[in-house]
Amino acid sequence: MIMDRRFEREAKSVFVPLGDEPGPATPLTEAEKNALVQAAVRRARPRRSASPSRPRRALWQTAAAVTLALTALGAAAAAVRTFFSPAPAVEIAPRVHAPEVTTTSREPASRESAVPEPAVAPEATAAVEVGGDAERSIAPAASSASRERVRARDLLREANGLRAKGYYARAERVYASVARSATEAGDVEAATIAAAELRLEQLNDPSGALASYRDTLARRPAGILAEEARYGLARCHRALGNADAERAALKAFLARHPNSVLAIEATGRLRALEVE
Amino acid sequence: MSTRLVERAAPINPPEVQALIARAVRGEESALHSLGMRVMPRVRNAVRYLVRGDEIDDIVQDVLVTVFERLASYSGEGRFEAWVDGVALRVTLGRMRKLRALQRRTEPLAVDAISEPGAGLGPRYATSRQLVRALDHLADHQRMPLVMHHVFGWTVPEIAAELAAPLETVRTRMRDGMIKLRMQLEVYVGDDRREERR
Repeated sequence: MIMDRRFEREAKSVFVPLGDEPGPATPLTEAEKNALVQAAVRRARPRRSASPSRPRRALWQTAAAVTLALTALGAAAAAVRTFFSPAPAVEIAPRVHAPEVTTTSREPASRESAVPEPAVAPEATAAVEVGGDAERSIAPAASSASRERVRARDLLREANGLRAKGYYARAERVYASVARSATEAGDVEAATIAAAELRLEQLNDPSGALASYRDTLARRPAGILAEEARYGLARCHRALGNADAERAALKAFLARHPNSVLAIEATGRLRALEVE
Repeated sequence: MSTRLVERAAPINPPEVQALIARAVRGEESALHSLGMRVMPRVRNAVRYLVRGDEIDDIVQDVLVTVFERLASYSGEGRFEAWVDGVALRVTLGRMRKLRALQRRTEPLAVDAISEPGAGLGPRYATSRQLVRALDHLADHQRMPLVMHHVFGWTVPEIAAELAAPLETVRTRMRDGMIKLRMQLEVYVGDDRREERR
């Protein structure tokens, strides 16, 4: 307890209270501030003006999720490219002679989830030492997998672009094709959810969206977009006018994701349903 | 959401803020914009305390959108800025949960490579930048409770509830985090002294 008080006093002298003055975030120019706020107002507009009778959910959350998935995919593709580089000696040298670069630039939280170094180094070293045989045997399969992932990423980007321009039906078709052909479970999940969002929000196809959300949850009940999928189920039931199913879906969502940003909205909708 | 320490001690909103909120709730975009411009620096600072890396402004935009959408649910009982802080914290935590899930199957976030353009911004800026540089070296499970407690003013039981962790675990993480933070800050002080001697 004495130690806690000491830490408390020490922390008071270390932490700078939250305020409007510059720091710790680097300051923005007025133009940058304006652009950021205007974008937020634009994104909030469709949701604020949505009709209460039909569930409208802005696409920004899906877009953010898909962007996250793309970022991850890009990182994964980069890791794969590094892993199966045709000239591994170049990659290995800095790792062997300067491991401290990795440890100082990526502290504990990072280290926990880092791409496992031991798995990379021995195989890559072997490829060099056996004069290329191992390298040749790995490279074709690896580059094929890498190509598939890069292609999926490109298609997702294309779909995002189409959606941003308002070509919703075309975007939905591209998302659906990625969902069918992608080899990474995360890409399939991101594409399926993005297609479902478009079906529900833009293409007046809540039944199709419902099937996609169900499919996502059946494949990956604890996937990174399971939260969106569970909330999507409730929204589909609402669009289909099925109040009992919507109520059950909202309860299931709140039970599984009590800390979700959408929990407030889900609770409010559940209350409204109880009153109706 | 339960009452925060900062809310309890805070005065009521200035009349111009109250008027802006009322207009924004009615859907006036100019009022939304003015409110956004008003709270955005604080939101960026809040998010930077919580997050390393270069995607602060993506999260800030998410926070602003959530603030605009949830404005009608602001009761007016506490300071508006404190309510916005709560939204910023929730949105950032939600985003980080997803990001962590993604990182498990890819690679970790790089620590923010900080270039310091802050000359002339005053000692508060320099101190807070040094603090987040040190925070960037902490594991998230140590950083989060420290920032939630010392920056956002949450109590330890509130943090334990939010993070779904036992009270003692949160306390231990905060103690360990504080030890590591102090060591990291001492490294910077040592660097500064060596720099001065040159």
